[in-house]
Parts: sequence; structure tokens; C-alpha cells
Amino acid sequence: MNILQVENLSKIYGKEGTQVKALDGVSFSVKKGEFVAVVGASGSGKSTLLHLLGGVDRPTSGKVYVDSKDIYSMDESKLAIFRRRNVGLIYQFYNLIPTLTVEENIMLPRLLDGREADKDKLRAILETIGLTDRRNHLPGQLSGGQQQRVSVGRALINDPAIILADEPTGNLDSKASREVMELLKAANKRYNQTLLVITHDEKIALQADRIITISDGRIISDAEVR
Amino acid sequence: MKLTAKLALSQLKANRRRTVLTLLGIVLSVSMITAVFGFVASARNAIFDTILKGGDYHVAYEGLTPEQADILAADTEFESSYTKEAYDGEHVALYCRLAQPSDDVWKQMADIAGKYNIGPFTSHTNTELLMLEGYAPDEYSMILFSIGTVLFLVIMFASIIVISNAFRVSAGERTKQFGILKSVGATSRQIRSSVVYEGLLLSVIGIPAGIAVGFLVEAAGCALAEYFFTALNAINNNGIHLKFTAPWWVIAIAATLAFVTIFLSAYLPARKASKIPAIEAIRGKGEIKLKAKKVLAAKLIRNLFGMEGELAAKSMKRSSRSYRATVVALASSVVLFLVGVSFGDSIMTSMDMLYPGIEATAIASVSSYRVVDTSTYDIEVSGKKQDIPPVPTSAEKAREATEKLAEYDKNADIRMIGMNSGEVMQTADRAILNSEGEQIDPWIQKEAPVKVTYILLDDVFYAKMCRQANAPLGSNLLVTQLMTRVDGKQTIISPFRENITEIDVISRDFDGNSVGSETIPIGGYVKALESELLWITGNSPAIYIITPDRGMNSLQWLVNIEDSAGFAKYAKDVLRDTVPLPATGNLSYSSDDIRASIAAQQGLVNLVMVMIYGFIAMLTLIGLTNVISTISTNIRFRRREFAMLVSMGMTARGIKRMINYESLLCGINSLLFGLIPGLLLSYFMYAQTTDLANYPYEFPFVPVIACALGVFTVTFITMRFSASRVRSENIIEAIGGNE
Ligand SMILES: Nc1ncnc2c1ncn2[C@@H]1O[C@H](COP(=O)(O)OP(=O)(O)OP(=O)(O)O)[C@@H](O)[C@H]1O
Ligand SMILES: [Mg+2]
Repeated sequence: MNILQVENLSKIYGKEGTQVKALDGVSFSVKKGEFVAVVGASGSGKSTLLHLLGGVDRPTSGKVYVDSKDIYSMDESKLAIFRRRNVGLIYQFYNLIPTLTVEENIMLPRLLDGREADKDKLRAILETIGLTDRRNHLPGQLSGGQQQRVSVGRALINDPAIILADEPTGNLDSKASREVMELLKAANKRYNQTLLVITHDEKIALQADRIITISDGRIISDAEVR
Repeated sequence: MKLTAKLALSQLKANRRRTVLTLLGIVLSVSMITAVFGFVASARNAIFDTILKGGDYHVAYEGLTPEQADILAADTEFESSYTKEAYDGEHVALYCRLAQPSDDVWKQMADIAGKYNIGPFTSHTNTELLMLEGYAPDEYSMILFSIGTVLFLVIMFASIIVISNAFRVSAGERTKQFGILKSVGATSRQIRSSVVYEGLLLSVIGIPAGIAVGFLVEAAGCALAEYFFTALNAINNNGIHLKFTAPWWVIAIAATLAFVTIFLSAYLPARKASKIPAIEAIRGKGEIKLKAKKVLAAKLIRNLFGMEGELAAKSMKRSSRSYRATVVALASSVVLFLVGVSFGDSIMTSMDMLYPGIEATAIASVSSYRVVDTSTYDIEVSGKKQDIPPVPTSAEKAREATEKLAEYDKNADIRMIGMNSGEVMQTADRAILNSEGEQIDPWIQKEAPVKVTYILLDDVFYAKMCRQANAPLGSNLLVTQLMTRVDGKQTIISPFRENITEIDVISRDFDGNSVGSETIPIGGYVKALESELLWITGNSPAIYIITPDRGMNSLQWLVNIEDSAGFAKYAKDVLRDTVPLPATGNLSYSSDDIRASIAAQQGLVNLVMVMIYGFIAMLTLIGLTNVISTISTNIRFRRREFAMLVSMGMTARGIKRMINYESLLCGINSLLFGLIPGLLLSYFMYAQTTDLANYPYEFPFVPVIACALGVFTVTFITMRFSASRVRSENIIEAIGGNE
């Protein structure tokens, strides 16, 4: 069953004259529980694709179906609720609310959904991301890698159907980067969550079930990993 | 162009919105300083002119012989002098300017005259001129001085806050930029000079514009004053004429103050940035310090306001630094507003007390007075049996006259006030007075009884008084507040014991012997201050009892009417008809058109009102710009945070609610910080004016409520507006890929 289906997705930035075609008629689908790596040169349109899948941007044309629902037919507040329940987003850069502590940042999606904090789950996540003793710190007091781990933790707290991660290990050394990937892969295996990761790291890409390569806004290869 | 200049220009251009707001703030505060001081200068000139028209002298000796005047005039302590012949044709008056007036001018005068053994003479001093020239720092000028100082400080404070806030809100952003500049190799000196250049550019545009606007406002103020003084100047040939002046010291004060503030506000973040390592500046460490403070009662807040409330509280608590600018802006507006309003209030109240008046364009009266039979009149026996006592006009007659007078113009406002102090004197025992009542002069001597005056009012006014006193119609009402002079100041006192239910009134003859008594039941109490009766009690402090049906010795009709001249003629005949001369005793009738003199007085009051409200409006405007600029910058600053929340699935409604809670918290904070100093200063203003006229302090409930409403409205609207603009941005654009 396809959890995610993309049809002829295009995104054009800017006005006439200075237009940039960031995505140009992209179509593919992802099965539930699949781990997909997206690779491509800088500026090829990877982040743009991810944002469109997560429903945080609007496509110029084309459709995105999540669980057979056309997400861009929803109005803003439906889309917001959809995001908080189904999508865990990890951005390439700015990720955390600077005025909330580690713990509070991780709990945020649950709070947004009006649900009580699941203490056990929080403890487990803090344990796995290795920040238990830092749970009361603010993002500004953490290193770049630690911040990235917090955002992974946050993406996991609500058990979203899809986790979208934009270079989650971009700022990390090899050890930290391995840890973060282990976290994501564990979630992918254990809860059968669908995982889509953008990466420049070949080693990470090779851990995936499938690699999509993008160049100049188009998919140039889509291959299973053996 | 030098690199630093280029940097500064690009800064100003890139943040066009902020630049405009900053310039607006500079222009507003500079113009306020210019206008206020300019107006003070021209008022001072006008008063000088008026006083000099009365004579350019400090002291005057009267009743001198011409020879004595010559001797005195030659004294070296006088700078100049002139003489005027007295009416008797023998004596002269000598008017002198002192070279160096001393603290005690009277003593100085006597000393000079003493040198030549000249005397006796009467003397007087030109206090106003001495005061204006800065001598004789008496009580009055001290009051003016301290009020002036407070106003000056308020204006300074307002301008400094506005300008520095305009810079402060962007300090975090700027620190980061300075960090980046440093990391690409700019020296601290280069950064500083770019900032100095920026300040210079802003000053070059903002300060002259502000001064120009300020002088425009001053010119408008002068024109307005001329307009309000038209009536006054028409009946007074020593009229007041405010002429526009633009003295250099006004320009100097405004320009210096603004320049120093601009410079410091721009310079401080730059210095800070140059002190911390570049990377920390880039990460914003230097500016916005976040602390993982425990937010008290977070659970409670969540239960009450949901998680949006919790987020708002945390954001407020932990990045209090970035709210500080907003809180300072709001709080200072609150302070400015309260000071402005209480300044206005104290001026108005003391003016009301010093010039108690009632709005009327015509006045008519009937009074019966004691007629002394001149054929048998003898100073020695000071009119005992020979005189004819006043004959009171009955309440029915008084009402009839009121109705007849009202027929002239149905739209006219007529108020009748009758007074009766008895044939010779009527008194009550001092036992009904409390300690404040000691201010009331006893009749004859201490421990002796106090005078009683009955008052009769027209039906409408009387009914209103009964309602105020919560008493049935037909009751006698005691006026419980009086105005009297205590230590030379007009003071409101409440001289009566509580729960007075009846008053024994004794009529007395000239020797103070009782000639009859009556017990008057008291059905309710009326406060003079609330009932527009204050001015009556100011005539002479006594026990005033409003009665429904007693005859009155004197009746007065205050009439606010369009055709005041016609009414004055009409009233004279009507009064003669309805209240004819009694068989014995005498009555005098009068009716006057007082429109012109009222208009003159009103002109002065209006001018003061306009000035005060103008001042308040200016302060409020300045506060508003300040608040809007800080809030909107703060919200723009956090657009990433909002975008982040939205991308995690917060709905537009959720964001709205969060912002509402933030506004609420921000408003509460600002009120806390604004109301306390504001109220203290307002009390200070009150305490200062009580040196002129004593009146009870009233807590300014209405202004405080206005402040609270204003603060919340402004915060909500501005926050919501800025946030809605931020929200309409694309999430991804707001988060912005690269940091
Ligand atoms: N807001 C925007 N306005 C205009 N052009 C944009 C915008 N965002 C991205 N682009 C352009 O769209 C193209 C794709 O950008 P995108 O961020 O998707 O690249 P990417 O593959 O994620 O690159 P990287 O690996 O460097 O993160 C780039 O050429 C970029 O310059
Ligand atoms: Mg990218």
C-alpha cells in the first residue's frame, strides 16, 4: 500500500524573469514502512520536495497524496492538524523554539494536539537521543548536533506515519551522525514508520531501502538498494 | 564613498520600515521638545510685555514729597526711576528699578529710605516682574519651578525612551550583523564608525525636521491662544498677545538632547558587539539572553489558557529581554499619560477653585437689605432700633419669578440660588463641628456659635440635590463640604461631625442675645464639590442648609441664554412685577449681561484646556509610535518561531490565541511597571498644586482604566496586525533555509 504518492509535482520560485524551477514534474510513490534516501547536488531541489511532502509549502502544480488524501485540497487549519498528527519534520537548519527547553520542545507536537505528556515515552526518547541530563536546557545552550538530536526526538514523539528529515546528520560528526541514523532507523523498523531522508552522505544513503536521485528538479534515478 | 558610510546607508535602506519608525520617533520627540519650550518662551515674552505695560519698575514709594523723591532717585542702588504725581497734587510716587534686588525687597526699600531718614511713605513691589526676572523666589515661583521641572523631565524621559527604544528593538539583530562583519575582518573601529555615520544620517534628517514641525506646532499654539484671548483682550486694554518666537536655546536643547540620545543608542550595541567574540555575536549570545527559568504555575496556566497560554508565558518569562523594549515603551506611555492627565486635572481643579465660576451669560438678582433710617442714624449707637430689617421674599414668589424668567427663552438654562442669613444673625452650636471645623471662624469669639445660612434652590436643582443626598423631596439638606482660606490657600474642608440629624438654629440680635430658636431636621447631606455649590460656600464659611420653602433675603438667577442682552432688560421688569417692593424694608433689583466677561474667563480656561490636552495627545502619540514600532519589530523578529510552530501543526487559531495571551501578559507587565511610577508622579503633581489650592486627592480611576484599556487595545491590535502579516508569509520563506 502506498502511504505517499506524488504526481507531477512542480515548484517555481520567483516572478517572471528571475524564475527558478526548483521542482519540475516529479512523480513517485513510497510504500508504508519504506526507508527512502533522497540525494542530489546542492540546489537540485531536495529540500523543496521535502517541504512539499510535509505540507509546509504550496506546489505550483501537481498533487501529493498521503494515505490517499490529497493534502493540498485541505484548508490551512485542516492541513495544520494533518501535519501535527501524520508528519514528523526535521529541518536542515533552524528547528527548535528558542524559548522552550529540550523537554518542552520534544513534547510540543503532543501539546499542540492537546494531549497530555506521555512521561514514559519522553523518558525513552530522551534516553535514546542521549540528552536526559540536558532536558532542562534551552536550545541556545546545546551544540549543533545536540540540537539536531532534539529535533529527531521531537519528530518521533507523536509516532507520525511519515518522518521527513532534511540532512539530519549534516552538522554531525560520524559518531553522532551514526547515532541519529540509528534512532531514525529504529523507529522505522519498530513502528513501521515511513522514513524519507535527504542526505549527502553515501554511507547513509546505502542504508536505505531505496535511493531517489534528483538533479535540476527532476528525478534522474530511483533505485532499490541491494 | 567610504566603506563605513556605505555600510551605514545600506543598513538604513535594508531596514526601511525600521528606519522610518526611528525617524518618526526622532521627529516626534524633537518636535515636542521644541514646541513645548518654544511655547513657554513666547508665553514668557507675552507675560513680560503685559507686566511691563503696567510699568517697568521693581518697587514704588508713594506719598513722598518731590524733594524726597529726588533724593531717593539719586541713590546708587537704583538702576533707573521715574515719578508720578499723586491725585492730591502735592505728593509724588517714585517708581524704581533696583540694580540688584535682594531676597527681601521690602527690607531693601526701607533700608534705602532709612539712609536719608525719609518717611513715612507707603510702598509696594512689582512682584510679577521681580519673579519673572528671577528674583524673589517665593512660594508661587517655587511651585511653577517644580512643576516645570517635572514636565521637563517627563519630556526628556519620553524623548530618550522613544529614540533609544527604536534602536534597542533591533539591537539583537544588529549585534549579529556586527558579528558577521567582524568575522569577515571588519575592525571594531570600522564597525563603530559605521554606526556613528548611521546616527549622523538619522540626526541630519530627523532633528531639523523635528525642529521645523515643533515650531509649526508652536505657531499654531500661538494662533490658538490669540483666538482664545480675543474676548479677554477686547475688555482689557493690557491684553495678552502671544507672539511666535524661535529662540536659539530651544533649538539647542532639542538638538543636543536628540543627538546625544541617537548617538548613544546607536553606539552601545556596536560597542557591545566589539567586546564579545564574533561567533557569539553571530549567535546572538550578546544580546538576547535566554534563561531556562522555571515558569511558575505552568500547569495552572495550561489548564486555564491551554497550551497556547503556556507557550506565551514561557516565551515572556524566558526572553524577557526582547520584551523589555515593548514593556518599557508601554509602561512609559502609561507614565506619560498619567502625568499628563493629572497635571491637567490639578491645573483644572485649582483653576476652578481659584476662579470659582458658573457658566452663565446673564445674571439677575433681587436682594433685600437692611435699611438704616438716616434721620436717626448715629454712629455711636450703631443702628439698634432705628434700622429696618430685611424682608425675605417667600419661596413661592421666588419660584414664580423663576418661571416668569424662564418664559423669555424656553431653551435657556436657569438656576436660582437664594440665601438667607437671618435678620441680624442666626447661629448653631459648635458641637456639630469636628476638628476640621475649627477652620470656621466663630462668630464673635472662640467657642462661640457659628453662622447659619439657608439656601433655596430652583426645583430642578433642588430635586437633583435630594437625589444626590438620597433624601426625599422636601428635606433639609446640609452642605458638608465648604471652601475656605486656610493659611492663605483655598482649601476644601469637611467640618461636620457624622450623623447630624437636626440642627438647633438660634436667631440673635446685634448683641448676640437669643431672640428665638428653631430645630431644623436634616434629611440628607450634600457634598459641595459634587454639587457645584462650592463657589457659594466660598463666600464665607458657615453652616449651609438647603431648605425647600423658606423665604430668602437675596435671590440670584444665573442664566445661560443666547440673547443675554435682551434677557437682562426683560428680567429687570419681570422681577419688579413678581417681587414688588414691600411696604417696609427695601429691595434692590439688578440684571446684567455678563457674556463678555464670562467669555474672557472662558477663553483663558479653554486655552489651558487646549494646551493640556494637546500635551497629553502629543505624549500619547509618542508613546503609541514607540509601542507600535517595538511590538512589530519584536514579532517580525520571531517569525521563524511562528513558522516553526505552524509547520509542526499549530493552527492559525492557535497562533492567534498564543499571541493574544502574550499581549495580555505583556500588557499586565507594562501596567505594573507603568502604573506605580505614574501614580506616584501624579500624586507629586497633586501635592505641588495644593500649595496653591487645597483639595482632597482623588485616585485617578478613570485615567487608570483608560490606561489599562489603551494598553491592552494597542498591544492586541499591534501584535495581531504584525502577526497576521508574518503569518501570511510562506512558512518556508519565514524559516529561511540558511542561517
Ligand atoms: N525561497 C526561494 N526563492 C527562490 N528560489 C529558491 C527558494 N528556495 C529555494 N530556491 C531555489 O530552488 C532551488 C532548489 O532549492 P533547494 O533548497 O530545494 O535545494 P537543495 O537540493 O535542498 O540544496 P542543498 O543541498 O544545498 O540544501 C535552488 O536553486 C534554490 O536556489
Ligand atoms: Mg536543502
